[in-house]
Amino acid sequence: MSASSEPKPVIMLSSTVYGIEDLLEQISAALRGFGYEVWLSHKGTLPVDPQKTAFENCLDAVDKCDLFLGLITPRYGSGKEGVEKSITHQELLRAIKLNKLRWFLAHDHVAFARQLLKQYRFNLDDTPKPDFVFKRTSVLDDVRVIDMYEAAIRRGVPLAERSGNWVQPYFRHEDAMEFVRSQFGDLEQITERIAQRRAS
Amino acid sequence: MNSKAIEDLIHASESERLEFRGTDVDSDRIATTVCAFLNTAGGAVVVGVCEGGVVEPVQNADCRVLEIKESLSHAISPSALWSVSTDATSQGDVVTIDVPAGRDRPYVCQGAIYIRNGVQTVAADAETIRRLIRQQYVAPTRWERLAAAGLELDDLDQREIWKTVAEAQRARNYAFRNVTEILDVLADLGVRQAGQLTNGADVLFAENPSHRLTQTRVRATVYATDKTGDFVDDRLFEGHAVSLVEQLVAFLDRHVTIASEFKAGKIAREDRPQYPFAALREGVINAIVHRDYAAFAGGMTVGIYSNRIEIWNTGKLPAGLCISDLQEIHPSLPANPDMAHVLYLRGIIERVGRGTLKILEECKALGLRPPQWEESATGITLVVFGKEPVHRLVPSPPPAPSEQTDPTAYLRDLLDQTSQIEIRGVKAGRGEAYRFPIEDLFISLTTTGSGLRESGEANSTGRNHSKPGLSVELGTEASAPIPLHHALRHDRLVVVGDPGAGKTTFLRRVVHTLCQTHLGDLPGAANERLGVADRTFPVFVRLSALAQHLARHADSRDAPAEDDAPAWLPHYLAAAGQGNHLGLNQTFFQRQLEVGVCTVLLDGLDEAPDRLARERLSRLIRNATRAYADCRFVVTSRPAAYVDDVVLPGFAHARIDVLGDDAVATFLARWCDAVYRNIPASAAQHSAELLSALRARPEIRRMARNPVMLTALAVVHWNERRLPEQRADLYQSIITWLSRSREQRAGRATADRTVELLQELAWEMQNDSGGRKMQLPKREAAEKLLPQFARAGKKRHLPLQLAERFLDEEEVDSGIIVGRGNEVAFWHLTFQEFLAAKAVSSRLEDAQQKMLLGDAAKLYSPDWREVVLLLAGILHEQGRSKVDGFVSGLLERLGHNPPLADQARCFGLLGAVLSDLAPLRYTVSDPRYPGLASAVTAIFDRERSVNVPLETRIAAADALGQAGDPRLDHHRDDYWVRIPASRFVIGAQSKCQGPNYDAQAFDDRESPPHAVSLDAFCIARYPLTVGQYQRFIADDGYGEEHWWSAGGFGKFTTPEKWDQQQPNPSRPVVGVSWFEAAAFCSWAACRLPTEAEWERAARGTTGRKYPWGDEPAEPERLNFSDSRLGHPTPVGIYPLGTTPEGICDLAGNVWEWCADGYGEYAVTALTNPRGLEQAAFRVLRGGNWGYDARICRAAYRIGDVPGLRAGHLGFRVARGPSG
Repeated sequence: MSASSEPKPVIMLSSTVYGIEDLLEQISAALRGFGYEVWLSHKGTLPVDPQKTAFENCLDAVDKCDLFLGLITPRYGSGKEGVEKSITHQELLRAIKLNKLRWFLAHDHVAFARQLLKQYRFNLDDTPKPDFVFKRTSVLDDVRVIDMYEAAIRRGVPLAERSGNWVQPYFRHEDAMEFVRSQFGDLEQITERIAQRRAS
Repeated sequence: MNSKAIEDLIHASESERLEFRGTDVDSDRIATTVCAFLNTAGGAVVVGVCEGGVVEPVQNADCRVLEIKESLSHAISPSALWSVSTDATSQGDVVTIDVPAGRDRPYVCQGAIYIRNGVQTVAADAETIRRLIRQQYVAPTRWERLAAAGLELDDLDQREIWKTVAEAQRARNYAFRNVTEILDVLADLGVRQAGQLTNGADVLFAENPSHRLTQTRVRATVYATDKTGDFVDDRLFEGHAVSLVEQLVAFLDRHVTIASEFKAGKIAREDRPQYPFAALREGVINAIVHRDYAAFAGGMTVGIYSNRIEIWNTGKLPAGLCISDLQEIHPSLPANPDMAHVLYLRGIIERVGRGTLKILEECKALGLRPPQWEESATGITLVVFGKEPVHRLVPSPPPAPSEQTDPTAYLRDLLDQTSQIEIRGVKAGRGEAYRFPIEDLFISLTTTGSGLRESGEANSTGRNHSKPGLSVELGTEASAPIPLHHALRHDRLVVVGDPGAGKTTFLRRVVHTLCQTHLGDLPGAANERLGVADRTFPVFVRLSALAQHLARHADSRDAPAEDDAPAWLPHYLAAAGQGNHLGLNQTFFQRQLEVGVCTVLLDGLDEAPDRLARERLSRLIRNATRAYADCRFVVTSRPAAYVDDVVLPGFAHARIDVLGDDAVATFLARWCDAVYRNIPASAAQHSAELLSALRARPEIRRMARNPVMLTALAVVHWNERRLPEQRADLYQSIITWLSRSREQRAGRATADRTVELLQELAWEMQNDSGGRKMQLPKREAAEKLLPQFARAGKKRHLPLQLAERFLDEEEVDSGIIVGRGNEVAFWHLTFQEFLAAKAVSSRLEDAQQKMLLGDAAKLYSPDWREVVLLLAGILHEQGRSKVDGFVSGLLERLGHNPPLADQARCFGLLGAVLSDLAPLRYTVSDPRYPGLASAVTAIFDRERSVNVPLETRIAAADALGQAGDPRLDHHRDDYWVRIPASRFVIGAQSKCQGPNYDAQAFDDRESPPHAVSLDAFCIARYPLTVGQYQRFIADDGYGEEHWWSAGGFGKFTTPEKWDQQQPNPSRPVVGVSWFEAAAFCSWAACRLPTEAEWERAARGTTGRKYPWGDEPAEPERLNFSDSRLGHPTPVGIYPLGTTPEGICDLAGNVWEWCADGYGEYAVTALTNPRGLEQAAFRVLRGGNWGYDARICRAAYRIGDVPGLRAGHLGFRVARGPSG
């Protein structure tokens, strides 16, 4: 199949922005260079229905995209009312719910914090400890980024049923870019996967 | 770039590394090429050159430079090193953009990745992008990017960081995301990666990187000959990069000689340095920037020989470059691009990739041999050759102190010290300080004319100082506030102000302004800002530091003989300046002071360690004013310490006022502008939110009158995006901020430990066996803290000293406690109460019972009430179940069949707790609570309430109001009292024993009594309450014009001080005009009573003196002046003051508007009178909580304008009998 004869595959890049503006620029530029149409909510490159809220438009974009690339960073981002899950968090859950073709990159701090805090967050029987309180730090501002990570790795889903749960940790921006290169650098292969998914 | 280099450049051909552009090229196009250079091999864009190297001069080249800088700063991601400069050619100016090869590829511009393909800039294809990413991935991480182990924010020189920010914004148009957050700034500068500080941050900003990285030290040596060996000076320099550059340049400056010669035919001597300083500086910078820092054994040296200067460092040439390349235009490949970028932004590096050319050019200009670069296995050496014997064999000594008279460095340092206001604890609470330019945040303080007085003794100066024995006139209105700086017209001035009133900031701004004036930066600043026309030399002394100096140098050989001699002042100034290498000595300061050209600003007389020290300082100041009679002296002190022998005779005194509404609003606007720099819309929105939050509660408004507390509130609001609604949360935030804002000093208690200690002190003062103490002698306070310091030593005196030292330190700057003479107190009583509650909450539940909750005497004592309420808030923070336990404990204590007084007392306390917790939506779940609420309504019963104290009834009624008082519903039948049709005599007179005689009557307004016939009507049993009026507001009563047929529509949106009224729904609504009362009536389908109806209801048909009869007015019957309450009370709590029909609060409590226009009484009988139709005034009846019994008589009447609103004006409603 020739990629150029078809509409470009649409990839939604979902992430909090603060602190990784440069990385998001680099990823989206690289993806465009590989031949994708890139949707970035903070850049306003999503299709927008003016009748809907920005929040609804973001979730609609998850529905409509072909591919979903989520970045889980140590910054949680803002939610609809400040107390609800952040937009990025809900985009991630939506992509999982819809079983989108999806990839996740998680900053090493998130994976590390998850391991470190596990003893404080859960009892031995894996039930949550109700009195666990997390105060924001300069390296991780909200414990819900760990919830995002766990949703992405599909914690709680029986091992045999887990799929689409690969989450690539990164520390340097170079690590994240290398992942983008290796996963999305071959447009033809990705286009075939999209076609297979549509056919199934 | 020198002219030859630029001519060579424009005559070269365009290539992969060179692009020419005409003057019409847009900045976006330049940006794509810069991006391409970064992704390829670096290069230069020259704007103003057409094909074939023809120059098309750039007009206003400097403006174009700024425009391109700004554009590139936004267009390129990630941020990269490049420089934009103007170069002069023989045909006019061109603009050159120098771009080294990037080290963080791929770079992106306008959403795409560009590369150079020959002379073209093109978008990279997929293969190229894959290659760029792969190459970047496999490249080792640069040393400057690695996390710096052990480096903390506190290790950094924040002044240097902010200087970098200021310079980057000013000269490089660099865009930071958020300049109020230092961690974000460091991330934007590329020296904080993944939340961690990098080695680059260490080298660039650490106070002393050599503590962790010994290789950052630089050795500088002056050798005796042209050989290594004997040396005449040898130094080891440490510090961050900029500091090293400065120290090394100063070292070179000191050791390099200047040749002097007289040329034939010229009288003047010509001085020529033996070396080009610009070249040496460039060499030093190159070495610092391009060093290989990775090896601990690495380093840098500067050697001055008799015939040359060598600058060596452990770096190496970038791959692909050789030594000969350095002597012509070559690609720039910085070894440490992050560091180079920061030094470029800081203004240390002027342009990129041209350093070696500049060195060549400078040497050539001085007629020197071309410099050499030598590369060896150990590093690179730059050799700059001299002409003559190039240094003195004996180094020139530093200039003798007596010769140094240039105060520029001193003034610059002072300017620097006072240019910003530092606010700690913004955002993350890690102790980081945020600096705001003083002019951005400073607000003008005021002093009232009456507060400016003069102490008695004559001064001896004969100048126009304050005249002895005369009051000081600052204006014609003695009590009107005037700007504090107007007081500077007095050459002897003491500024007195409470803790946090702004004394130091005021002085710092005076210093700042005088420095700007003296240095010529802003010659008119002193006149414009301070109203001071002269150009005096500022001398700024913190008196605590002077006191330390006096103690430390008492036995010095060069110290003045007398302990209060004025010469101590220049002695101290020279010593302080010496520490800062500012070069001015004692003689200089002495001369300045004697000549009388100084403004001497002495800060914090109260900060001297004890009374003796304060008195000594006071004597010293007095002597100084005599010795340096022509200088201006300004001293600050807290009022408590400025007493007795400390008082400075002959000084005018200005007491700083609390902040007025305008000052608060101005501060907030400036604060918001400062934190939202360049985002005016966000600043305005934040300002509105903050102002609204500050106005929401009386205690917050009161706090905001003090500049430090106002700052605390602004910071808390900024950090938490709101002010905590719950009081305990608010005090927690404030105390946390104050404790973390204290000056950090070695050996000082941490913020958390400080709060812990103050909690214990608060508890001990609150729980003192002799009753609550709000102030204690310092020794006694220290003794109360002894157990906390007991572990510090075995001997008793040591812990006591530690405790006293702790109190001494905290009272200086914590803002939580303050010194009052020799006593100590909390800044505000609520701080003591909150911290005492914290102390209780920190104990286990059993201990809490013993301390407070199990002790009814404390629980219901007024002295402990705030502690209990704040404790409930603190417990809520620990979990709702803790409050449930607290509430159940209170109910449990009532036992079976408790007396009504106990029930009311408990219900009142619970009501106050619930009101306090309302923002947290806490509700009582204990099933006994509703039954208690029902039982408590008996307080309104004449008989059953007899033994319930008034205060208990008020608290219980307030609580009932908050819980939903069933009585207060105008839809209920029993809300109304029906008055049958009747005829009675209205008015009173004191003339004769005729009808309605009353010796207390006001005949001019209550006479003549006359007969009135009224139809039947209904009148409300109570004045209209806050809760009832709230429903009118909620129904948009103020927004619907049809309710306002009587007038007043659109004038108001709520009653006056509505936010203060709302917590008490069962009290009468006040602060309403007659128009608002009338509008409510329209909405509620009722009306205001006429004056005659009101008096009929209050006096019956028998002409009672008071609603209850003729018995005297007393506090059990009404809320009036003798009650000494000073505020409205819940309606109906005076069952002994009701009319026989049960109408409450007709006497006292609040004035009640009547429907009628006010006029003189008629002399004839009337039927259903309605007063004057066109009267200017409307009738008010009943007196209020502040008036005496005579005014609260039922016949008394006044009138006022219908638009009047006040905290004692309310109303009640009436309606026709049929309703």
